[in-house]
Amino acid sequence: MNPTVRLHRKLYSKTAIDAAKAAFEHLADISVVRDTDWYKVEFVDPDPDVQEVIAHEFANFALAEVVESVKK
Amino acid sequence: MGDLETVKIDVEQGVAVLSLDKGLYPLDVVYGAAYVLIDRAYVLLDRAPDGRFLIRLQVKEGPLDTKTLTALAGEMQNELLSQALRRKITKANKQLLETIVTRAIGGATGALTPGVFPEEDDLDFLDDPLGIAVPWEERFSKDAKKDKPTDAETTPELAGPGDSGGFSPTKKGSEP
Repeated sequence: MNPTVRLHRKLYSKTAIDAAKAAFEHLADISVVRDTDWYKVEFVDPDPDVQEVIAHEFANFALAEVVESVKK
Repeated sequence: MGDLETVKIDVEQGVAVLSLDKGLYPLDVVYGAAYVLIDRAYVLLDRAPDGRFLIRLQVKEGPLDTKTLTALAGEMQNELLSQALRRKITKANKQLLETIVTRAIGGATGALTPGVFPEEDDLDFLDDPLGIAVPWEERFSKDAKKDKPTDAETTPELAGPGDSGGFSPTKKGSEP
């Protein structure tokens, strides 16, 4: 089963998710689907070395992007 | 009325979930606290249907036991308080900080503002009307003093009693 993560739209901006997607796209095929209040992010065919953590790391990266943008 | 703040520890999944009342902390405080922990833990923010903030924490390395997860949740709670206090202090002193920064910047740039200088359009940058560029040795050397005309040479002679063609203003016989 592919790793997935659900990011709330009121807490994670699309810009931050796009930045995370660009940073992680060499590790998996990433699809972002808008689903009511969340963005559902799915990692298809992820690199086996990072399969366990890719969703968590992606969420952390997106959170950091959001916080950085809020700081500005 | 529900609790303002609750913590749930799930050792099986290795996560601690904090649930915060939406009115307890502003969103930027939650962001700030989460940001502090992202180097040590996986942090996922979410919202419950009733609007509460859910903060899901999972340690990156180390044992996933109750003690570790409880400590991580406690650290998050402390950081939330810290961020909230910092925000309050910043807000309370905002005007003072702005005044200090404005004056500092104004003072630093004021000396460089072209409008401050008197307009001396006819002066070239090589002109030295005050003799500031003359070296000390040159100004005070003996040769310079020798060459420098004396006051007697430069000061025009003023008319005095000796220039009156021998006329003495005192009457003859008035002298003792």
